[in-house]
Amino acid sequence: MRFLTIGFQTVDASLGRIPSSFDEAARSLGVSVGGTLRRIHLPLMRGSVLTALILVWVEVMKELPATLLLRPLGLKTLAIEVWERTSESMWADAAIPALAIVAVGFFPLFLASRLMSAAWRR
Amino acid sequence: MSLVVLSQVTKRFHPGRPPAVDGLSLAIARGEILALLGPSGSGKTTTLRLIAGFESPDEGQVLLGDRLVAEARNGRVTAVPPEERQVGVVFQDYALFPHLTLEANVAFGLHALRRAARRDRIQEILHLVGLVDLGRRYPHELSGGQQQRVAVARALAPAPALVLLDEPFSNLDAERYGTRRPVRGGWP
Repeated sequence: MRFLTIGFQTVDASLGRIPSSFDEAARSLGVSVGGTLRRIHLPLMRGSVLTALILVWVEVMKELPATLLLRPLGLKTLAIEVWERTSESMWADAAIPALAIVAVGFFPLFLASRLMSAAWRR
Repeated sequence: MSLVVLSQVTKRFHPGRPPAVDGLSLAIARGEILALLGPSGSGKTTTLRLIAGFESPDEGQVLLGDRLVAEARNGRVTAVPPEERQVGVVFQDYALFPHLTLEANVAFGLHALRRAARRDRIQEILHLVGLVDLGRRYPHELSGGQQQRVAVARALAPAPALVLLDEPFSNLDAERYGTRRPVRGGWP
């Protein structure tokens, strides 16, 4: 549920920016509802759907409490590694997974910000 | 024979308030140009939307040629969807697809044609509206008047028997090619 809002808001905002006259124009040109979705809505929303995917992915990766509660036994994510080591005051050891989170998070955020600025130019 | 016949068409958006279109009857012959005039809020756009199939009537009938496309009787409404009516529409905001070039916008309604025939038709139509050189451009790279001509071109491309223009002169420009010429001469 927590991640749903992030993804949903991003996609919903882009859907709201497509005026209903686009649907009507497409249909008056003989294209069905499904064809309109495929040829108008999906291409116009592609950028924001990708952005939403990336944002949710980053969120999921750095999530700690939900992962701790729900993980199968023995599974460790980067966030859990950091948490376990810092709780035992192994600061130097914790730095490596922490830096990995930053590194893995940086690239998609860079991508997302480029996608978003491209979407705004439309 | 009439191309469009409305008989006793009523459309009401809010119960209790006066209807947007109240018992309207009209007939348009093939080749005829009919203009609906009236103050804003008098139901002009709603009438066009009823003919195009974006709205269904609450009462009355809509015929296109000899085909009954919408009918409301005793509260039961049957309507043919807009994509099966072959009516061209030029929207007030043009509704050009921003992710497609002019050529692709014009080609949007030409899915029934083969590739070569489609290319010829695109060139023919762009020539008619005087935008042949701009076919690779995107809508946001055009002036308002040019966008309007693309919207006209796109509506004319599949050669519909009927074209509806909503506020067609809201962006009247003094360029060499107006909007009227292609509309009058756009039929094959």
